[in-house]
Amino acid sequence: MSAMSNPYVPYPVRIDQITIENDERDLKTFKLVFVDPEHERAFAHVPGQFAELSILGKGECPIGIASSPTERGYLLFTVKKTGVVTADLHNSREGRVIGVRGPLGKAFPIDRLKGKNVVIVGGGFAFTTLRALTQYILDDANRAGFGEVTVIYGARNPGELLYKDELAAWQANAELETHITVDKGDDAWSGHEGFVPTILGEVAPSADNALMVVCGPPAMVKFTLPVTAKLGFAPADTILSLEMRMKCGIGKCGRCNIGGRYVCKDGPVFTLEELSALPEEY
Amino acid sequence: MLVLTLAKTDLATFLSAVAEDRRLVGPVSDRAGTTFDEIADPTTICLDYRNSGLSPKGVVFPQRETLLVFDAEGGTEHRPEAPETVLFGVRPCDARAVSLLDKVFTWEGTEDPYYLDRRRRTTIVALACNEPGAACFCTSVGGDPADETGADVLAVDLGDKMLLRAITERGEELLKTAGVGSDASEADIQAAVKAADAARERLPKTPIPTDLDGLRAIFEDELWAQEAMTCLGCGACTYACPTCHCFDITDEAKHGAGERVRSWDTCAFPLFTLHGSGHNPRPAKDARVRQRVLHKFLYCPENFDDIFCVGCGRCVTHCPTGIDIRRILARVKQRVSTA
Repeated sequence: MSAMSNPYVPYPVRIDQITIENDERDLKTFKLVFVDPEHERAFAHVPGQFAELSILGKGECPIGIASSPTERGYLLFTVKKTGVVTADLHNSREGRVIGVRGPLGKAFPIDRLKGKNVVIVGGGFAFTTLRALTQYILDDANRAGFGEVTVIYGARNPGELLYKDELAAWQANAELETHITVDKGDDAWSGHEGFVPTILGEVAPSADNALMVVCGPPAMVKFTLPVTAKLGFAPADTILSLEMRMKCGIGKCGRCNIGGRYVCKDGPVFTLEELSALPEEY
Repeated sequence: MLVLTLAKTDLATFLSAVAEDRRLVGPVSDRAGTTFDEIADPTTICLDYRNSGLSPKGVVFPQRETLLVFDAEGGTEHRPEAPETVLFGVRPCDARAVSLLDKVFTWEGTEDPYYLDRRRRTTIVALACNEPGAACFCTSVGGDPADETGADVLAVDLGDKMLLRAITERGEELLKTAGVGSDASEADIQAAVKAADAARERLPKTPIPTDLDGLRAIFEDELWAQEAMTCLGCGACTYACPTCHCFDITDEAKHGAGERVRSWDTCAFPLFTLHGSGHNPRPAKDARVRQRVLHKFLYCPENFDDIFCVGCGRCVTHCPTGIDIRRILARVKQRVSTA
């Protein structure tokens, strides 16, 4: 298939590794390797973008790319088991060949983030593209281009946190400040306890020369934005990533409209300023 | 550009010549009225119609089409083997609608290969309207009974003869290869102008809201809930609409082999926007009726500088509960001007 000339044709990728992320076992991270190395070169993504994962016979689903382009040789997607395609994907074994169509959408504004302090705020399994962004900044070749990095990430309980080993490594890494919180801890939990907006208010990162990137479930985002504003982050400096039902991913099928914008091609990354100009229909 | 006069008695000869190495699609009568179909016998073409029940958009954007075929081993793209096609006798509103679809499927440099495979092989002969239909309002939305937009040739019915005016190189080529007809006389050209003038006068002027800021401001207006009250959510309006282009992509497979298919979809269905999580950004009918109206009269003008309504009136005549977009637009315009 000629994926490069036809945006509807997925690149074949092999599932190289499957990692169960959470205690409920409904979140898995799939490490995908391009069958044709030429396709890997063509698939040049930037953190914040997404792709359509494609299983022939089942369909496609849009998923944020969890790996940074600095992690070469593979792509990571963390997928919650939800519908037909994701359930089938969760039933996969390593070695299975599926498809990836992308990269799609507008990425995090890397050029704007450069030279700035970056505050990364995430909740639940919406942390995937924030992982990509964090890994991108932490890459040796990139780190000096950014200021201080603060990551605040929360989940319902310790068992629901994604990328547990990496979070531990980040907490031990002097290149960034990492705050992990859970709504409710267990006996073994020694970190923050409390909702993400509360912890953000306590950590109170400065808005001077800083940008804020927020991804999370709607309730988390709703209660985080007033805190962000109180800390002094302007709407143009508050960056969000949206989810929306999608099909084509290339601005044709009309499914992901918010007003005149298409989440698939004008997003999924928007500034709060851009979103305020749109109808509240997301 | 070439302008020919063709005696009606030569029409079948003309169409046969055109169809020699092309597929001919035109209006034919069926039990439901007039519909567009492939024409094997040119004498069956029915040019004496107001407007067809369904628009001819399916010629370039089929209701259902295969994108990929696959088996257990993998998949391959399935590009349409679209034959050179002459779409003969579409109303100017429908030709104009195709020019709007062109914008969507080539937008911002992202080309839709399936659409373009068909579109690039389609020559459109529009047929000017001498008798506007009861629900027509093309002149209110920038159209005209003799609109040339989207057409390669504009045909005008002059009783016992037809005027054929080439609009594009492609249209001129079509007229030349047919080799039937003679250069139009000044009298015939004037007769066509008069016919259009007469038709134009009979078309009602419907108020159209064009103040985009005003339209943005009435997003939360109560009129949407009122207008949506009788909507059944059947989607007939979008199905019949020549500019509605929203689609779904689904896999149809048995034992691992099958097709990835795209098919027309509609913003009138609640499932259209339902997330996997259960969240639905447009959970109620009023939001969906509003989406259809604002997509055409606000969002498309924002994105394409064009209203995506050509005034064909099909949504008016097809709605089983009598929802009339002209009434909605009049109310919207009033709200916008008083807001």
